[in-house]
Amino acid sequence: MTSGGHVQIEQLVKHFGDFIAVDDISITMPAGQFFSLLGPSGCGKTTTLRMIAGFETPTTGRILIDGTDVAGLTPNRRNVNTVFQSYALFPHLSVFDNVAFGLRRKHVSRAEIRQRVGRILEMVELGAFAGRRPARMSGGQQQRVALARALVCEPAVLLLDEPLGALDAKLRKNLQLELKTLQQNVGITFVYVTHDQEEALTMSDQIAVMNGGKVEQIGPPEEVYERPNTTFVADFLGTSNLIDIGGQRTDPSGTWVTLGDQEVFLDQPEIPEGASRVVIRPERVQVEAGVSTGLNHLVGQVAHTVYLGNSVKLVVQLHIGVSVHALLQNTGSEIPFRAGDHVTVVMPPSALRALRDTGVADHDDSAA
Amino acid sequence: MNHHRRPYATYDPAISRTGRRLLNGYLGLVLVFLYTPMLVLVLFSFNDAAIPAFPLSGFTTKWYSALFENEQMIATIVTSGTIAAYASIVTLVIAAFASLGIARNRFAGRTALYVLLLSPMIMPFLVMAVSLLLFFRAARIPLSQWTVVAGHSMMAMPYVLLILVPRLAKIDPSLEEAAQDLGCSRVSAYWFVLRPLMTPAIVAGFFVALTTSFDEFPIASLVNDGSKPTFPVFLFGQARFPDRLPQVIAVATIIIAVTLLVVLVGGIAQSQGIRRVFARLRSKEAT
Repeated sequence: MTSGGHVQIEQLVKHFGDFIAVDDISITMPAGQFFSLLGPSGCGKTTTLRMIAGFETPTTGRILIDGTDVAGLTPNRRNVNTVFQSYALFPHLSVFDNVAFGLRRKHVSRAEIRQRVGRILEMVELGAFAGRRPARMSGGQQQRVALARALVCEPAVLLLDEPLGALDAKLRKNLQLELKTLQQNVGITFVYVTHDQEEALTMSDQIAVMNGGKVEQIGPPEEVYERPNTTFVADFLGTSNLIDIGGQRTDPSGTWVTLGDQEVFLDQPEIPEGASRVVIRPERVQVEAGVSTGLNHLVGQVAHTVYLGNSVKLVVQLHIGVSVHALLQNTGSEIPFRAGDHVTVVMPPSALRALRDTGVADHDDSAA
Repeated sequence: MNHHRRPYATYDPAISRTGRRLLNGYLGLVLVFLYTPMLVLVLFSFNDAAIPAFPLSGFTTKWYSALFENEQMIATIVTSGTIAAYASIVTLVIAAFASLGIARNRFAGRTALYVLLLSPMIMPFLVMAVSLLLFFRAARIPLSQWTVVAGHSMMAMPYVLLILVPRLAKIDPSLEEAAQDLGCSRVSAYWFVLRPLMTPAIVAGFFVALTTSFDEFPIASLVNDGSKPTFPVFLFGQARFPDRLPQVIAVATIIIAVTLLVVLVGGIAQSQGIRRVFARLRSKEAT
């Protein structure tokens, strides 16, 4: 349809009075990518999106779309369109007129409007609803109207502000895949704001994890999930065991860190400066019955087990004074551990990472 | 969420038969209390007697025909209509900008400003009329129809604001952003999105301003120069002459008819706005 725009954010800062909403961020969003801004409410992701759209003026910094600085332009002079969290469909207009709104402002001919609106409504499978008022449609249908209304303008960049936030979980899952497919078909750059890590992981080509107005890490989903740089990223994406580091030494074989009174080996090529904690995902923690010794073996006692359906969560109190969570796949056999069992926890060197401590997200799943 | 579909207590299955009858009876009494005086007025306007008293003497339309020949009276109706029209337009223009400022911005003293704009409502019109008179004197502004227009705009402002501001506050501000996102300037976003959504409230506000101005007496009486009295001022003068009373009654009947019509039109316009709000609430719950 159209080729996507390349978005370059350079040292972007936004103050609201004394509050710093966006604190000197630089992000490159390559053309045609599905790029997510992920973070908890108040992290600055929506403010960043609104600056790209033109609803907020940056305090300092530049926003380049295909090389042109748009920071000073009003929203109607930018080649971007937005899908709003509330959809913001015009209640007094039919679906057709909603979708045609942008084309009419650009004085596109009647025949072309009819053709383009018809085509885009077919694409989002709402061809039969052209005459309907938005209020008489379901949330999922309204969401697709909002998408069609923005896409019909053929923007270089489509901005989406938690577009699935108001929908129920099941519908959300379906639409995640639809959105991703749609993005690949139209080839437009998508900038997607969400606080839902699963959504970001499922759809994105790249994710920028934001916290407190700053970017913590940028990378493809598997990179930010598997190789987080900070405790915040490790904790915000999925669940993580975070353990304080007592000391650190490097020898020719690699890096050793002290956890309590025990040393563990890390298979991490570069330890970030000021690393003060290690992370290991619960699904990477291995639990063996009995007490044994070996590389990265830590002994402890099962505190309790939690049945989760597709897996079993073990909470193990380690002798070094911390407790770790381990996820065991539900293979159909009986849970081999009970509370009080003495066990050995094995942390594979490849699963351990030393991180800078940037705090953790408060796990509040409510929408921003 | 269908409470709005049952406006009558009689539909409530929790109310007993006797209770229902009592409620209906009460409603009947209220309606009688409200409308009997007006019905008597209508009745006497067609009564063939100079003194309005029972028993009725016979049917006539002569008071109405006399009325339409009374050029003096028609002139005052035209004056009142003109003043009401100007006052309504001035009020709406100012109120539209004021409501945008109040409902669409956050600034220190916003609530205080709103209260200040609404407060003329609790001031007796007579007090307002006297203070206006003193003000125009002090400012050496000669009294005319235009000073009445100014006074009536001031008087109608709070009522119109009370219609516009709540309506505007219910419109999602992201609609204007969406319009800008789709190619509108800030001003044209108002035109293409806010204006159509506000039309019912604007129409209702216009009629409210129109009717309050049309029958207002103290201001129209005190800050006018006397060369062109408004209709209520003229009417009060006529009431002193008993032989002209039937004509006044006929005029009153016409006013009742016109007012009912205006209220009906305004009410329909308003309820369409209300219906839209409900439609939006419903669609939100459906998601």
